[in-house]
Amino acid sequence: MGDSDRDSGGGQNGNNQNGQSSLSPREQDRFLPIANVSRIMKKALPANAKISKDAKETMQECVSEFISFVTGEASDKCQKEKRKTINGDDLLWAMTTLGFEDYVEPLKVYLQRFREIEGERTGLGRPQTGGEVGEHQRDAVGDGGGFYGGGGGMQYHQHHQFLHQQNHMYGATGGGSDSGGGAASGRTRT
Amino acid sequence: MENNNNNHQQPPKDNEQLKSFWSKGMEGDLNVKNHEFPISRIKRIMKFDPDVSMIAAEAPNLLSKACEMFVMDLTMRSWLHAQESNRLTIRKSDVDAVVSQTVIFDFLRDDVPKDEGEPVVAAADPVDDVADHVAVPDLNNEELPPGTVIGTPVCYGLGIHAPHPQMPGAWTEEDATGANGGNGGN
Repeated sequence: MGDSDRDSGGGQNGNNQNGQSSLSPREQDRFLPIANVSRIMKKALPANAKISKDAKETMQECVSEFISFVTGEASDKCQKEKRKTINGDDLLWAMTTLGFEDYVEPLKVYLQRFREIEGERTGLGRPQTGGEVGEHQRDAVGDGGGFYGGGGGMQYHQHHQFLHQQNHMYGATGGGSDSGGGAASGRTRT
Repeated sequence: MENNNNNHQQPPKDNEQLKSFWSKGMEGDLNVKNHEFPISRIKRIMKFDPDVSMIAAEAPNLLSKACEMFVMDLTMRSWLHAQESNRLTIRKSDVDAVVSQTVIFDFLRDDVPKDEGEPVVAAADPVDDVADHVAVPDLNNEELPPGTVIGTPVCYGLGIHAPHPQMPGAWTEEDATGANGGNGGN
């Protein structure tokens, strides 16, 4: 509840300070760093192009929304297939479903290379063992979170699906509600 | 000038440019170890969704690269829009215009026209919440089942609570939190 309120408050402050760049620490966590976003934007533009500050900030919001949008779709697929872990293929499927098929071919190449490198690490033994232990611990924590989060999600799952069927705009709203549901579920059980 | 007009009037050409960009321009950027965006931050954003429990190591890395493509995609289209006005500076209005004009960016429109977004949320959420939690038509709320005693039968909320004695607290909390969550989404 407290966290939720603070997040909402932060959002409102952000909106109120359209012209200013001061973001609260929590709000900054919701976005990718503006320096990274700005650098990527420049890579797509000719040298003489300039980017206004508010355009960069809008891009920050858009890319975070993109992450949530794709993740939500991939998560739905995992739930339907009764799997717990979102993997690269789920994300590629989600992007295809959501209209970003142009991104998928280059990303398949990228994913192949990533998996090859991961495979090499596996061969090393000790480093991978350490990694596995770490990942296992993180997964355990994730499991705990998933218990409450999943409960909340199930209650709102119908809601989420309904909104998705309406149109994409509602999809984002559904995502927000899911977050609320998860938090409520956690507190109720506690 | 003509180039700008051509770009504006021939969307297919834009698509071709974008596709060729992906197939050629991205080659050099497919270095697996070169991450422009912090993986930890992407993972954190992914986990804002309570449905997301576990994430494979490859997922945030892949999404990092996808985000680069998304940012460049939206930026290039915004640049084309700025060029139509003979400007060398991309403004927020250019990004907003591309979002409103491009189908694949539909999901971003909540943020762009904020005045329109909020009423939609306000209108949609209550009905959906009710439908999800209690499959009770309005008529039934007014005609309460025999044996159910409620001080104010007309009160909509109380009608919902009655059939689920253990739910009132959870319902109230979830409803409130859901609303907050919705606001957060905006």
